Amino acid sequence: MAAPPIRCAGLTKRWGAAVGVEALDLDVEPGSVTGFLGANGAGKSTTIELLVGLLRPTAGQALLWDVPASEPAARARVGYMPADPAFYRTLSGRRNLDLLAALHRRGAPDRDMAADLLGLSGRDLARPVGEYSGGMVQKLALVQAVQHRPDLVILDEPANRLDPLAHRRFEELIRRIAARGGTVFLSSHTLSEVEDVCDTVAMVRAGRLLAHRPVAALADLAARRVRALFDTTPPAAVPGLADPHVDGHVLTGRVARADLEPLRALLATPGLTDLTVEPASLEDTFIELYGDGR
Amino acid sequence: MRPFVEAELRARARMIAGLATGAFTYLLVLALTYHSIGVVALGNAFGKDTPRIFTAFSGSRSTDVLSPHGWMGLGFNHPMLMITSLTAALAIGTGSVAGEVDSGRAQLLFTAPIARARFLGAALVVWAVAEVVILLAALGGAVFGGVLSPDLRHAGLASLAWAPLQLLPLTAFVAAVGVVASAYADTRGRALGLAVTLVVAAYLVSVVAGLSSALDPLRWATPFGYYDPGAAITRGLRPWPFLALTGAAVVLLLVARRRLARRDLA
Repeated sequence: MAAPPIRCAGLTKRWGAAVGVEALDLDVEPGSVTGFLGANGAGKSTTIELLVGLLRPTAGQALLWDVPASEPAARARVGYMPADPAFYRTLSGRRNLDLLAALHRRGAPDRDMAADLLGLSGRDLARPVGEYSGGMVQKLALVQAVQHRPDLVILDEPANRLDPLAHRRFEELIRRIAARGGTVFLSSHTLSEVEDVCDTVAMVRAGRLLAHRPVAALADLAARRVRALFDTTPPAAVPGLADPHVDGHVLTGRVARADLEPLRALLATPGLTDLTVEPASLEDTFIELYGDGR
Repeated sequence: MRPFVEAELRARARMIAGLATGAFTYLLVLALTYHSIGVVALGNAFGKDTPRIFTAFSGSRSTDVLSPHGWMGLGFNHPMLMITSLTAALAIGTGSVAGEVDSGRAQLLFTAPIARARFLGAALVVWAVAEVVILLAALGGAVFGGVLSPDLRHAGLASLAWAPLQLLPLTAFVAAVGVVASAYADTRGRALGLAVTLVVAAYLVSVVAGLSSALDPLRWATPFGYYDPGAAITRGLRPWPFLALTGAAVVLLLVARRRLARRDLA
């Protein structure tokens, strides 16, 4: 069986009493697009910086294809975009890309594709980076992360400063990488983005892994939203229905996965004219997992 | 690593050009002043009792600081040229690790599939190129000024080349101090503060050591004590101080390399 592109085994990073990551175990499948979620300070960037060899683990291992990330050879097949990318400001975008491509020694077969897709023109690339807007720097950082056609792309908050149009193009870029069999590991605060482009989600809180599963399966962890319409005043409460709220003729609430009793009770309630059950969004799941202390 | 070296040199081109211009101008002016302020007359007035403050600043115990070559030796040890030549060493040395972390570029550079130590090697190449440019400019200023000065021209200009060559290992040592400070410090500011404090203290110790015979042995406790441009100009390159400073710089670089391999870069 092929080694996973990313494997964290008991990965721990502490600075004195402060914990960045604690005993993190995580395997990322080849060819997957994994969203890495967590609140501010949860340990996302620390994990990523351990994976790209910038930080040294206190304990455990960060492995890329079973090679410690601190080994240069492990990073030969990786493209990385930091949360706050910084380039040589006096050099043009193209010179910066040339430099980084040379350091990776794999050429830049996907540079034009990525630059075109993200809307960075040849003229833009000829300008000094010091003249770039924040969004352009972000695009340049994305191009440098993928230009050498890496097998694993690690992105830390990649769409932070992108406008909606560029954001769409970024999602298209991720799909193209996935389509050619590349593995993508991205951290994000934008849950809709993760829902749109990722097939797997890993969630961390206080440096520990909360959940790691396919996006659809993760949504199953959270309660579904229920909306019941009545032709009379709805009941104030239904057994098993969480967070009931009555607004006019509408009763809303939430039901746990595989708990059909509240739905049966609702269906048996006189005056019910319509009932909708919506799957939980990733946001619901995120808030629920974070909120209940699991 | 050639693209990295080129990028670093481009990024520092203005600094290097400025320092080289300063070094050229300073040595040119110094050479011209030998005649214009009448240093020969000054020497005659002092006789054999040249004030020790002159010799202390010249960094030379064995040459007549008021002779044409001794005067140029003083120029190559003057705080003005020291600042000019050591600024590049300190800027590039302290920028090699902490500077890249501070600027955020470490996130892109040190994640490339390249051993961290190679970035130190590349920083040394950047320093070497910058320093050679600055010292050649200083030599150019000294020679040009010497051509225009009858006393210096008569004393001979070819031997002036030994002074910047003798200075090179001192700047290497200072660059290595900067690299070590950079490898240990969290920020470039701290690295620079630490390195500058050490270098200034070492320079002051060497000057103080020159003020009295009793304090003279102190000179060997500072890297500046191993640099005697006046002796280099009058008697040629002094190999053992050259090798001592180079060896010390290598030891410091090995310490920095060891630290760099283990430290966090974010």
